Amino acid sequence: MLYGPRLKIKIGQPLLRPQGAQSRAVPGSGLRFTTTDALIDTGAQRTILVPEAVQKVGLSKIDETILIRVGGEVKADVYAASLQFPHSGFRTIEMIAVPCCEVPHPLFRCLLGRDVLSRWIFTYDGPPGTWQISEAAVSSWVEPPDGSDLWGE
Amino acid sequence: MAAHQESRLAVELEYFAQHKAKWLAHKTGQYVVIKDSEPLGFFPSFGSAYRAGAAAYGPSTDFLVKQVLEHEPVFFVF
Repeated sequence: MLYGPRLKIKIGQPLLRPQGAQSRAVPGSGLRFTTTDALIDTGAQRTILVPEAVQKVGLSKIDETILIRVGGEVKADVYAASLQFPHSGFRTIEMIAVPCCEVPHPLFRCLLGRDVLSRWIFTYDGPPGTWQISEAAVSSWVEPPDGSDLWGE
Repeated sequence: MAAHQESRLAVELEYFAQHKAKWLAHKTGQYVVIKDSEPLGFFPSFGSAYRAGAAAYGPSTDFLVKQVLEHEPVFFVF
C-alpha cells in the first residue's frame, strides 16, 4: 500500500457520437491514447492530467482555470478528454473537461478527483488499507492483494 | 504554463472577458463556445457546447468552451 488507491486509465480525445444516438461512441481513426496509472485523490475537486499526458494524446485546449493546491494558486489550461477504465470495466467517460498541471510524484500522470469519483461508490477500509469501487450495473473493482501482479499484465 | 500554451485561446478569452458583463444578464449558467472573436452560440451543458464546437471546428482544434458565471470558479486539488 505504498501509493494508495490507483486505477489504470486510458486517456484520449473526447469520443463523439451523433446526439441522441444509442450506439457506443467509437473513436475516429488517427486518435491517440495513452494508458497510465491514476491516483485516486478524494481531496481533489477535479481530475488532473500532467502536461506529458496531454501532449502525448494531443488534446485540444478549451479553457483556463485556477487551481488551489499545496503551495498556492496556479493557472491551469483545461483540455477536453475522454477517460476509459480498461481493467475495471467501468463506464467510459466520453467527454470531460480536465485541467492540466504538474503533480508532485512522477509516477502518476493523472489524479482522479471527485468529478469522476462522484459517478461511483468508493469505499476505503482503513485498517487493512483496502478499497473498492462500485458502479451501477458493473461488478465491483477491488484492489488486488499486495504482492500480486497489480494489473494482470 | 509555457508561453505557447498561454497564447492558445488568448483571443477567445479576451473576447469572453469583454462580453461577459453583457452575457451575465441573460446567459448566466450557460456555456458559450467561441472561436477567434466569434461566438458559435450558447448551450445548456458542457457536453452540448463541446459537441457543437467539435462539429463546427473539428475535435482537434482549440476553441473556448466557458460557462458564463459572475465569479470564475477555483478548484482545490490537494
